Amino acid sequence: MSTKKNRTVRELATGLGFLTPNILGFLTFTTIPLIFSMIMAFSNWDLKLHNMFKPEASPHFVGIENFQRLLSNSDFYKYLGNTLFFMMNIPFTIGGSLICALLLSKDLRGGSKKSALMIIATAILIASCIMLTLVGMGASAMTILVCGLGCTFLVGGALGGSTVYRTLFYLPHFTAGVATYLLWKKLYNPISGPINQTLNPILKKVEVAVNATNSSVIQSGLWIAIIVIGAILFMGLKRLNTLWRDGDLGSRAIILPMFFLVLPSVMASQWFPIQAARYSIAIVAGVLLAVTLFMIITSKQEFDCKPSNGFGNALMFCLFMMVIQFIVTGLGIVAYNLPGMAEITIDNGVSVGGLTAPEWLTSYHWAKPALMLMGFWGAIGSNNMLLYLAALTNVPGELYEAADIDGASPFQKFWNVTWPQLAPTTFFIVVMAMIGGLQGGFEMARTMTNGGPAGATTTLSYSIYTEGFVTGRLGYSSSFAWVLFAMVFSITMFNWKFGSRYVND
Amino acid sequence: MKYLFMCVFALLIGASIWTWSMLPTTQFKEPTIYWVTDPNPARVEQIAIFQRWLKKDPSRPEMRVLVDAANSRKEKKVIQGVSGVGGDTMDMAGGTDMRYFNAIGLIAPVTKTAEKLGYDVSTTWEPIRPLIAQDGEQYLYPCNVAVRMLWVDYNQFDELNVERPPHRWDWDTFERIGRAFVQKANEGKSHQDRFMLHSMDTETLYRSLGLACFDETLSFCQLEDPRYIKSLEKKYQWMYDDHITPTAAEQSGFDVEAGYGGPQIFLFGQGNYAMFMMGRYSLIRLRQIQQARLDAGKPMMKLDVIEPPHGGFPTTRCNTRALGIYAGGKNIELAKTFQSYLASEDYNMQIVRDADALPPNPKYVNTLAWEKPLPLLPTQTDILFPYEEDEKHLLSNFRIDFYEKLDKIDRESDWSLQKDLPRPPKPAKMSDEDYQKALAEFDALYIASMPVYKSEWGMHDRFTDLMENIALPGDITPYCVPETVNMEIRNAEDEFINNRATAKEAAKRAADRVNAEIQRTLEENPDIRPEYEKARADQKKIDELKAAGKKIPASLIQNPFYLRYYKVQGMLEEEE
Repeated sequence: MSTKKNRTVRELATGLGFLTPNILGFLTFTTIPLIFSMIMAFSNWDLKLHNMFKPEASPHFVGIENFQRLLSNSDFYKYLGNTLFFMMNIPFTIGGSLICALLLSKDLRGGSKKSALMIIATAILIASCIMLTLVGMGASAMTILVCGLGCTFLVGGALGGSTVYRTLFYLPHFTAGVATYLLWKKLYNPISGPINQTLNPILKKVEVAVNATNSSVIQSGLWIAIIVIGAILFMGLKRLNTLWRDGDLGSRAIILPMFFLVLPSVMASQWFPIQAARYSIAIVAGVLLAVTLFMIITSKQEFDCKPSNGFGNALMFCLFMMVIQFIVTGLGIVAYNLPGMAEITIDNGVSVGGLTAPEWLTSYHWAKPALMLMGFWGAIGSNNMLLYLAALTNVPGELYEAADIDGASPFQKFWNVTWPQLAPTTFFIVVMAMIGGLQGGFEMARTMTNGGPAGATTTLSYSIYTEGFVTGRLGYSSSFAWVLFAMVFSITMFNWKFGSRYVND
Repeated sequence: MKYLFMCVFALLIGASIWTWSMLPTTQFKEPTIYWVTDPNPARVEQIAIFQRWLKKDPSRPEMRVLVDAANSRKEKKVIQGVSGVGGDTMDMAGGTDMRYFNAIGLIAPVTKTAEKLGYDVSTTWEPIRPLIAQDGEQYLYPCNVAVRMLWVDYNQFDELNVERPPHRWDWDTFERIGRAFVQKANEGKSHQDRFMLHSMDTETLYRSLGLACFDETLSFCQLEDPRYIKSLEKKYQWMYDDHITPTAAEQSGFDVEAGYGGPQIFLFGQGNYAMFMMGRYSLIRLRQIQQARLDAGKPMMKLDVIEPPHGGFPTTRCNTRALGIYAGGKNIELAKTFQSYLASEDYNMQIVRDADALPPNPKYVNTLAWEKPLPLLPTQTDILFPYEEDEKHLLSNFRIDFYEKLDKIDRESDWSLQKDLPRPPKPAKMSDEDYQKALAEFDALYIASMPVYKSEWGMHDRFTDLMENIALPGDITPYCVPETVNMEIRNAEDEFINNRATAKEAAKRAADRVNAEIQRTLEENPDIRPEYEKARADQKKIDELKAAGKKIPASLIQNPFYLRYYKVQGMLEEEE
C-alpha cells in the first residue's frame, strides 16, 4: 500500500516537474500580466508620474474613470470603426479559403497531356517575360518577378500536384508579417508598383474611350444600376417569401435577413449623386418591400415551422445579395462620375486629372481598402484553408453518392451536402476570425502607414500601443485593452448563442 | 524521459552560462558602459577617438564604450529605463525627448559635473541651449547640432535657364521660380517627375509669418489663427496647384530605398528634386553622390545652402541629437566622462570633418577643416588593405593617426603637412608588390576625392550664418507630451490635405485637441497646475501689453521663438 502511495507521489512529482517550466512561464508571462493589467485599468498609472524614479508618488484607484473617459472619447469610436472596416473582409476571406480548400482537395497533378499543356504555357509566359524586358520593361523587375512566380506555380503544380499549391497558398501565413507588409508597400507604390503599373494603361484606355463618348451615355450607367439593384432586391424578397411560405423560414428569422437585403437600397438613396436617382431607388425598394410584407402578412405559411427556423441560411443568402447590391451601387456612382474624372486639364504646364490608379497608402479613402486587400491575401491561404481541407476529408462519401443518385448538379451537391457538413468548421473559423480581427491591425498600421493618413488606418490595438507607450498612460491604455476584451468576449458569446443554432440548422 | 528532461535542463543552464560569458561586459577588465544610439557607422570611429582621448589625460578613468544600436527606439528606452535596465548613456532628440524623459525621471542632471569638466550649456550653440536644459538644470550635451536649410543644386536651374533661387527669398519669389522650374523641367512629359522642392514643413511657414505653435508662455496652442490657415493653404497650393512640391503619393512613387538621411538625397542627386530641406549631415551622402558622378565622368552638382522661403520673418528650425545619462545606471560617473568627451576637440573635429551636422561646440567652426575641408579616408581603405581579424587594430590606429595629423594641419593651418599624412601599414599576409599597388591605389583615390571636398570650400560658413542668425528650436509646451502634440497636428493637417476638412476646420481641430490634451495632463498631474496658472497670468499680462502696443519684458516669455521674434521686431524689453 505504502509502496503504491510512494509511487503515486513520485509520479505526481515527476509530472509536476515536467509541467513546472510551462506553468511558471504561463504564470509569469500571461496570468500575472493579465491580472496586473486588470488592476491597472482601474488606476491612474502614468509612466511619467509613477515609476521607479518617483517612489514618493504611487498610482491610485480611480474606479471606472478610465472607462468613462474612453467611452466618451470620439477617437475610440473612430478607431473601432476602422477595426470593424478591416473586419468586413472576414466573409470574403472565409469564402476565399473555402474556394481554395475545394480546389486544393482535388488531385491537380497533371497527366501526361496536362503536364505538356502546363509546360507549354510556362514556356509562353517565360517568352513573354523576355519580350517585355526587351521592349523596355526591364526596369519593372517586379512585373517580371510576378510573371516568373506564375510560371513556377504552373510548373510546380504540373509536377507536384496539390501539395505544391497547398504549400504555396500557406506560404503567406508562415512568412514574417513585417516582411510581407514591406513587400506590399512596394506593390502599392503609386508609380512603380506593379498594381498601378497594370492599372494605369487600362485606365488610360478607359479614359480615352470615356472622353470620346457622350457623357450622358456613360452616366446612364447609374440608371442601369438602379434597375439591377431593383432586380436583385426583387429576387431576394421573392426567395425569402417562398422560404417563409414553404415553412423553411420562421417569422422571427426573416426580419434580420430582410433588413440586410434592403440596406443597400436605403444607403443608395443617400449616396446617389442626383436627386431623381435617389428618389427612384427609394421608391423601387419601398414598393418591393411593401408588397412582400403585404404578402407575408395577408397569407399563411403552407407548412408550420418554429419562428427562429432557417435563420442561418437566409442570413447567408441575404448577406451575399447585400454585397452584390453594394457593388452595383458603387459601380453606378462611378459611372455617373466617370466623365468628370476622365477630364484632363493643363495646370502650370503639367497635365492633371484623367483616370489614374489609386494612391493606395497615402490617400485617406484608399488606405483602408489597401490594407484590407492585403489582409485578404494573407488570410485566404491561412489556417482557415487548412481547417477546411481537413473538414472536407470528413464529409461522408455516401452523401455525395446519394446526391448523385438523386441527379444533383455540382452546385446542388455543394449547397446541400458540402456546405452543411462544413458548418461546424465555418462556425469555428468565424469565431476565431472575429477575435483575430478585433485584436489585429497593429503590425500592419505600424509598418505601412503609422496609423495614417489622418488616423484612417489606426485600429484599436494600434491605439492601445500609442496610449501606453507614446503618451505613457498605462492605466488608460489597460482600460482600452479590457474594453477590447469585453467586445471580443461579447461577440464570441453572441456567436456561440446564435451561431450554434445556424450550425444545427 | 525524466533523464532526458534533466539533460535538456542542464544543457540550458550551460548555454546560459556560456552566453553570459560572451557578454562584452564580462569580457573586458575595464568597466564598460553602453551608448544607446543609431546604427551609424561613424559611431565606431567616434568610440575609437574616445579611447585615444581617454589616454591623453591620465586622470581620466579606464573604460570602454559599447554601442547599443538595437534599442534606440524611444519606446524601448522608456520601457527599459523604467524597468531599471536602461543603457548607461542614451541619444535623444533635444527638447522633446528631454522633457519627456525628464518628466519620467530617466535622465540624470549633470549641471555641476558639466561645469567642472567644461561642457556646460555655455559651450554650445545659443539657440539649442533650451533643448538640453530645463528649469536651470542641464541634462544633455549635444552629439551634433542640425539646422534645417534648403540644399540646392544650381546646375538644375542653369540647365533649364531658370533664375537661381537667392539666399533669402519670400513666398512670392519662391512661387515664381518654382512654377517656372516645374513647367520647364516637365515639358512634354506624361507625368511629372521633377519638382523644385522635396517638401516644406508647415511650421517653418507659419513661423515665418510670426506665429508659433504655442503662445509666449507655452501654455496654450494658438494654431487656430489665420496665419496657420494661410500656411496650410500655401502648402496645399504648392503641392496641388503649382506642383512645386510633390504630394505624398508622388513622393512615395519614387521607388528608392531610404538610406542614410532618407530617399530625398538620392532623388536630389538624380535630379528629381532641385532642392530639399535638411541639415548639414546630408553632406555625408552628398559627398558619395558627388564622388560617384565624378567617377562616372558626369559634372558634379553645384551645391549651395539657402534659407527656406519666408512670409516676412526669415526663420528655420534647429535641433540636436544629444546625449543623456540614465539616472538608474550603475556607471553614472563614467557616463559623465563620456558625455564630457562630446565637448572635446577630438570629437568636435571628427564631426566637423565627417559633416555629421554642426559640432556641439561652436568654437570648432573657426578651423581650417570647417572652412576648407580636406578629403577623409577613402571608404575603400578596408578593402584595399585586407587585415586579418587579429590585426584590425593596425587599421584602427592608422585611422587615429591619420585624423590626428589632419587635426594638426587644421590647427596650424599648414597644408604643407599634407605630405606627412600617414598611409595604411602593410597587412601581414600581403606581398610587398601587392602592398605597393594598394598604396598607389589608395593615393589615387585620395587625390581623386579632392575635387569633391574642394567644391565645398567656403560653403560651410553658410551653416554658421544660418545657425547664428535665423535658426530657432521648436516650441515645446511643458504641459503635455510633445508626441501627442505632433500627432494631433499631423492628423489635422492630413485631414486638410486629404480634403476631409477645410484649412480653417483643420486649424481649429489641431488647436482644440492640443489644448484639450493640456487640460487632461493638468487633471492627471495637479502638481504642475501652479506653474501653469502662473504662465496663464503672465500670458494675460503679455496680451495686455501687446494690445497696448508696449514692449514685452523678456522675463515673461518662455517661448524661444517669441524671444527672438520680438527682439527682431523691437518689441522686447530686455532686462539686465
